[in-house]
Amino acid sequence: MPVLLEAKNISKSYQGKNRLFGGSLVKVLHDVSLQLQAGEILAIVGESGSGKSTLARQLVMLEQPDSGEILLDGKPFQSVTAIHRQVRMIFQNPAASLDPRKRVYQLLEQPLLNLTGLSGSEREELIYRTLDQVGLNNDQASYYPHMFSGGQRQRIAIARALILNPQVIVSDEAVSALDVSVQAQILNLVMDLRDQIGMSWLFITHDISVVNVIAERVLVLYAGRVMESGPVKEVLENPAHPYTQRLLQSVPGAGDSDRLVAVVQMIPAAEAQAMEYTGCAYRHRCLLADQQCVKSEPPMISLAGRSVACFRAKSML
Amino acid sequence: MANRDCLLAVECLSVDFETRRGSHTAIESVCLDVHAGETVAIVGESGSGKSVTSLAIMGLIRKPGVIRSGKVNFNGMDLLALSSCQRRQYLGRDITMIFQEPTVSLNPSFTVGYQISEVLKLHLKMKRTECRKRALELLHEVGISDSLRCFKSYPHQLSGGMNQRVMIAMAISCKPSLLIADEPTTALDVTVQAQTLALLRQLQKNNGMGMIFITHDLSLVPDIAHRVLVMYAGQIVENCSIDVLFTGPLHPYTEALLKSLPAHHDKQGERLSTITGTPPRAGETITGCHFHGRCSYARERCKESAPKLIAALPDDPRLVRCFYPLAANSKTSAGRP
Amino acid sequence: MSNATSVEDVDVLTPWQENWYKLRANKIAIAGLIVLMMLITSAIFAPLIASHAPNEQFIDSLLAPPFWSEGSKAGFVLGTDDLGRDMLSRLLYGARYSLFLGFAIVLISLVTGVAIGALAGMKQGITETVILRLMDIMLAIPAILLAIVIVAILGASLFNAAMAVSIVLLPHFVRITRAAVISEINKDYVLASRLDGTRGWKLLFRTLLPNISAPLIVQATLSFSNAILDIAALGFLGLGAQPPTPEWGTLLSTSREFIETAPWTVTLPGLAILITVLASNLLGDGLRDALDPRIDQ
Repeated sequence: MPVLLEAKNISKSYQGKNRLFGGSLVKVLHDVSLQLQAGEILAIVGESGSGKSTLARQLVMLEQPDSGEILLDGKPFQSVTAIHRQVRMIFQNPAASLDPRKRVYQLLEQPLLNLTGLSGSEREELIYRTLDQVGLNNDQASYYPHMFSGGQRQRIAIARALILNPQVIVSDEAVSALDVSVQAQILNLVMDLRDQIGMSWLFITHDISVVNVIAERVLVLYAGRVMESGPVKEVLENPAHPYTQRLLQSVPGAGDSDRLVAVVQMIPAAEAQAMEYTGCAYRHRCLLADQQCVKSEPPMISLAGRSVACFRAKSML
Repeated sequence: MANRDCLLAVECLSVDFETRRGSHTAIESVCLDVHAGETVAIVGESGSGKSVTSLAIMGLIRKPGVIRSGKVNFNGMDLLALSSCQRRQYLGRDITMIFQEPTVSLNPSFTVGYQISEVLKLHLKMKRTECRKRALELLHEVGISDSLRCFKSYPHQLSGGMNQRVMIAMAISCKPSLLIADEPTTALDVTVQAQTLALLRQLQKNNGMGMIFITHDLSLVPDIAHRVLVMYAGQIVENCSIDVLFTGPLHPYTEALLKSLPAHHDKQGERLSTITGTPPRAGETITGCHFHGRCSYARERCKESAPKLIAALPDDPRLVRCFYPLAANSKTSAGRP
Repeated sequence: MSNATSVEDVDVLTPWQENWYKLRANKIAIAGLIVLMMLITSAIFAPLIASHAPNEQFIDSLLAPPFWSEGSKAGFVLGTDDLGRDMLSRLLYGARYSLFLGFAIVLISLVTGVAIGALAGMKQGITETVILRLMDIMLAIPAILLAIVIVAILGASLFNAAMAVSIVLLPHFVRITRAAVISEINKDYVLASRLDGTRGWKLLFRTLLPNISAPLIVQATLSFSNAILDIAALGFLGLGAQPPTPEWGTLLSTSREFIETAPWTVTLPGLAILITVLASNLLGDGLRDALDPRIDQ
């Protein structure tokens, strides 16, 4: 399968806020690379602070990465408008991402007005067709977002992403704010869209059990670095990185989680973020860490069908 | 079901909300028992009334909410009959609560240590030095290694998981006999969630307290609870022990919830089963069973009359609000272990 | 799929309709609104209602008291002033000045304030700092003093007074707009709108403004009363409308020497100002409650 969207060694830093005087730079993404193939769902798994939302913002050109490049169809990003047409984004909370003062019709018309030259009747036809595609009916086009349930709102958000017929959709925690039964509906819709129109999907989530259901490949992010990436089957059934393993153990019902209670180290959140790491980013929480992990950062190696950044990867398998 | 040895016995609790469009029922005849040393999980989707239930137990229902009927017996005393002044003696000492957003629940202007000490001073009338000593012990008890540093920190300097541990420390500071946890792990990362659940389980076992664990995520329940109450549209639809929940749910709604969990589904790319339709809106009047519109097993009778919460089978401790409970009819097990 | 349940029982209310229902529940605010509407109507139809021209003098009835006092004269319901002009007619025509000036001033402040505030909020950095410090300086000078200084520079006239008051009221709008823009601009719906290709002024007018209009409307209502007060104060000091213009503040100042002999000449314009300001403040408070999403039913 051809590679559709490719990110090469993306790094991004933000100016940290430090009381009165301008703070130091906080590096949120460290040389992140990924490849999304046409017609697949690639899941990006990470906890808060892993940089997954920052990554999404770079990929849809809401921000410019400090270094590295992003290629769509093998060509670097050129005009912002073109990218906004081809790479669309869905946010976590549909209640917050839909303008409360606009009717559904206006919400869906906005990208068409701004980014395409379609006539009024063409726009109308496309809006109703897209609403149908996500399982909403035409009457609902005149409603305001607050009149819908959470799941329906996320359908509207998906319709807004779909309506430009993009090549890639990036969704940032698109189902985390939804109830389980509704979450299942939205996940089914995502899979339907992949199978029916071959939509390529970059699916960012913190929930590894969701990854198992919908994605073909997965990329595990921790502290702005890729820990492990590869086909879902290999990575989740047989993790080669201690962090991936930890994530899997944390899934509710994964059994003996009593030993997880282990005393936690007191690292104030702000400090942990600004902390200068030497060696592996995960070594503070890793049970297998030793001197080598402190001294140098583990390189990305290919192992048993996936890429993994860990010195202990071989012994994990 | 007035059980004498119950720590908490809620009987037929109903809460209404009065709005511009008229009054509507938020929860309807909710009955639940919690024994000492037992964890009861209340599971439901948003709007099912699970949080209203916990607020009603704590006596925290404010206008436009009104408690229409019911009793909340705590250690043989009706909490709802007490004046707010009398109730305050129990709340925060014998019954405590932790919330979803730990960072919002703590006061950002005071140090963590000060806030724990305040609770101790207020309820246990401790002296300052005692308070400090006990607060440090408590922080240690909830698994914070560097308790002195944590004691001196402000909430914004701590991570979400750490703040939730602080909230838990405050909640257990007076050795409560009942802890109500309202979605305590929803805002936390998965790895932190697992740790927090384990901590709660451990503390509950060690202190022998009763616990009500409210969540929207059915998959958390087996990790923490002994018994589960499933709520739908303001009613309890099923009340059963955790061992039988996953082998054979009785109510169609419980079954549907179990089936829609991604964790209980391992065929990649296969569609998840969903519940068609949407839950009734607040204020919508429903005749018959509240779930009949979305139930794939619904028959004529379900549309006409409302089922009661009753034992599914004679000699079965499980309660279900359904005319045609699933496992009672056929022996096929619906959920997956 | 999930659209089985239609939403028949929910009427499609626009957000504005919903706010109107909330405002309608507030009796006091509605009273303020009604009083304001009555004032506006009487100002518009002043030539029809007023029995006399505002500057018409009746030499034979100087300082005639209003109808409830002894010695009142038929035809002069609220009495006459020291030059024998009908008070009611003067007040009605005066309402035209005060209300119209109030609206005009608020409109000017609102439009420029929103533009400058949005500029500060959207373009951060040096532009923002310069604008904000300038506004801080303006806020540090007492309002009426600043207005006097501006009028002193421009020269005393009604138009210049209105300009001065507009400038005095400007910083509030700038600060409110900037704060609202900053709090909204990083919200998901604005980001989504940007991804839909909305940029620049379009982003401000189509996406941001409808969502930040609530605090601006409240501020506009409250500024309306401030504008009327300030204009009256400038008129009183002789820096605004010049006699014989029947502007309320000017009426107050020209008749203040009769406060003991003919109290109605002073109290009636004062009362007119009081009622207008009170009505618009009540409406403003009601709007604040109705438009604030935190106070939801």
